[in-house]
Amino acid sequence: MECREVLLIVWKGEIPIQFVLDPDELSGVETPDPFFLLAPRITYLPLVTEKVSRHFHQHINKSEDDEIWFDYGGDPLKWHYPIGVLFDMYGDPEKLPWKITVHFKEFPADELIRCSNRDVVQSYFFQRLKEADFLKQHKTKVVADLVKKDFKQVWTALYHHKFEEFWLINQKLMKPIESDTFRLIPFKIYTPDHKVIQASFPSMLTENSPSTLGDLIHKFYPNTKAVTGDCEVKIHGVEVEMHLTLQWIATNLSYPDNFIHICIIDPYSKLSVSIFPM
Amino acid sequence: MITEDDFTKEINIFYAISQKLNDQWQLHQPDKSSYPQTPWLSKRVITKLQIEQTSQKFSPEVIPADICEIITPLSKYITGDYHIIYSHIYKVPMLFFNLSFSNGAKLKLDEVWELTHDTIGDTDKWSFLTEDEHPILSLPYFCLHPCNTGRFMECLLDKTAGSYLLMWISVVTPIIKLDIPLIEYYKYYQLS
Repeated sequence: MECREVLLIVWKGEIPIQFVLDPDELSGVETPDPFFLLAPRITYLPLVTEKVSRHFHQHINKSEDDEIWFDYGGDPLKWHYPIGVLFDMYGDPEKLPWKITVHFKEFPADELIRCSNRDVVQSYFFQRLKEADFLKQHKTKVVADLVKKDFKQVWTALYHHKFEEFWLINQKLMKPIESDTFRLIPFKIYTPDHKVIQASFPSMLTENSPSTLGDLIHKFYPNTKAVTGDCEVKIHGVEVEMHLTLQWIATNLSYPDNFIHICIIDPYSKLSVSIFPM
Repeated sequence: MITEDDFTKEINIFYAISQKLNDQWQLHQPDKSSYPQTPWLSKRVITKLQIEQTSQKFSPEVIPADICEIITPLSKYITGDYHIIYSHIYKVPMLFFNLSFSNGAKLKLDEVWELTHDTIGDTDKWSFLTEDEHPILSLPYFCLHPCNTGRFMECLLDKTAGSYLLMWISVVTPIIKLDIPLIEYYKYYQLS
């Protein structure tokens, strides 16, 4: 069962971002003002940066190949990760606003998925919803056709950032249909070296023993500082207790794509980034 | 669907046959510290594409990499990088690939759709082939969506016929014009 207060807090999480144009792309002498934005953690960069694009695009030598992309400290930012995940991986809560550089030239196609329009984001989002639905509910077949309309409504609500509309539909997707819990838990673990671990893990270890976040970390990221407690394990920027059940976390702390996105943060490696900024 | 163990077994058989046939697939075993541990296959192929000037349509013609030909102004060499990976979500094989021009520029989604237009068409291309993150390399690759693979394989798979992997390859590779000497593989598979 969802806890409405938690869902609301998750939905309202925001990151203050300061966008600046890459000075090498500037066409004239006048430097454009930075663009400030309070971006929802749960959404994707392309869904909130149309104004950012318009603001800066007039200050560069335009060409047909221009395609907006972002970097932080030299790392191209993957737009297909939710903004909250990007911030937890790369940003520093002590240093706000988060200063992101905007580019239009030399799209790094070897590192980033191209995002020429909103359909790309929608298609990516649907793939994830479909995967999550399959993991949670079904043993053998994808019944995506039945829930296609629901997906569309979830997407529209995310795009317009409407909490009530989103949960009106999403609660259907979050209701286990074959038992009291999901079959498998949709999750992604982001490691300090920016790798992603994605696999399947049951919501119940045995009939009476639900699996916990600690079980998950232990299985997929063993022998690390995350297990000994020297790394922070964060969801939505908040350290999460290891004894919480994955079923509760999946129901209450999933991102809109119905996956739990878990960031493992090594405070020491972040420290070195801030001492030696690129 | 295919279990991870069966997939691993079939990947290893496929790789052994590919070596006998000099088909140049490579077998990758993820390092011990990473997860998952399932091996995967990759292959690089150079293809000459004829690009019709009026319609901008591609028609591929696979050529051996060592033959030097005079290139007409309208043909381009494309390097394809193909990966066969196990999907831990759907429990089926998945195909990831990138195509690049000889100057290193990656083909865009529209161009890849154009290449596969004869099999995919326009109707459902968004739910069939898009760019996605490679589950092992975490880099952008084109991907044939696996969500319906299990279903169509159920229809195809004659349980007595043997290799799930070969059957799957015979279905997906024509879509992206990847030429594989399947008959040879089947011959060796029956001997294995």
